[in-house]
Amino acid sequence: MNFAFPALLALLLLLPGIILRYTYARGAWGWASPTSLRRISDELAYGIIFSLALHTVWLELMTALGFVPDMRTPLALLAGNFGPGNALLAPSLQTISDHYPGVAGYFLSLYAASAVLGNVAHRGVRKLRLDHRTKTFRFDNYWYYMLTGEVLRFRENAAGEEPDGVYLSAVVSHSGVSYLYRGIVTDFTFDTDGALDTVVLSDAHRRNLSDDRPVSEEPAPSYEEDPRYYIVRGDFLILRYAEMQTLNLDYFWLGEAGDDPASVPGDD
Amino acid sequence: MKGRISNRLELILKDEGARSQLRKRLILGQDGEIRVNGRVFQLRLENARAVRKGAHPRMIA
Repeated sequence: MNFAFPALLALLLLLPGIILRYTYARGAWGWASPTSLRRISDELAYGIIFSLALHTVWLELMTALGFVPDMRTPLALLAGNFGPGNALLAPSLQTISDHYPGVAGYFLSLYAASAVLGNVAHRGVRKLRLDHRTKTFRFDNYWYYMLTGEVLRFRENAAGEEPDGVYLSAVVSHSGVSYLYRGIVTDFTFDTDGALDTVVLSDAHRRNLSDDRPVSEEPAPSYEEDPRYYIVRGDFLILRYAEMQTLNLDYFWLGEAGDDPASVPGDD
Repeated sequence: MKGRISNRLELILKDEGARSQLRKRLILGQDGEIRVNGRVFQLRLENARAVRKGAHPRMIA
């Protein structure tokens, strides 16, 4: 028996938990939902715990359906110990070859069920807004919550209303000169590690950061009369997160006549 | 909010005049009315800040 086989078997056994964690963290909506990817070491720990639970449930289910799982064979293969004189090796291999479709069916059905369960759990948490109510269910994606304004709905933030838009101001340096870029956040992307990569702004404008207005000076009556600002032409401006030095977010709400004046809600 | 921006904000951004009104108020940090296609929206601003790399947040109009 190749020494790598127990490692391969361990991976096959851990995969349901890893799939469950991955699909739960990624969600089914892709960009429209907070994705969170932890380090492999963290995922492995969760994977072991969830795999144990999933295998227990699946084995019980198989037993209830009339299939009697042979636990000795996988344990012997996993340990790489087949008793004195490898007496259990031949029966173990025979069991697998005799029940190959059943073994494959067990793993494939468990993998599929884990993926479905992860997606359903993600949807459930988002639908019921459990991630807003408690940190236990909160996805490990700080920027998603900040840039969509969902952070305002967190219980610790008095569960306020989600804003209609987010106005971003960021300091970005070009050739040693710092500029203040401002615009409305319309989208953002994450890199393969799940970290914020770019922020997409619409109606972007900028000015030189050194053109700060003194505190004592009255602001210009309108921005058209404020020569410091320069409208960035184009539909969208994409700012790389790595190039931003300071970030400021303004949340804003748009109420319409007929809305409750005490609370200017969003559209959701 | 659906997606990244709300339907109301999308409506305003599609209209050049309304977008200009919104930009003016956002730069100045002022609440006020935005008019678009006969509809009047009341803009309300609140501040929340995320600061990176230890630099100071400067909210300047």
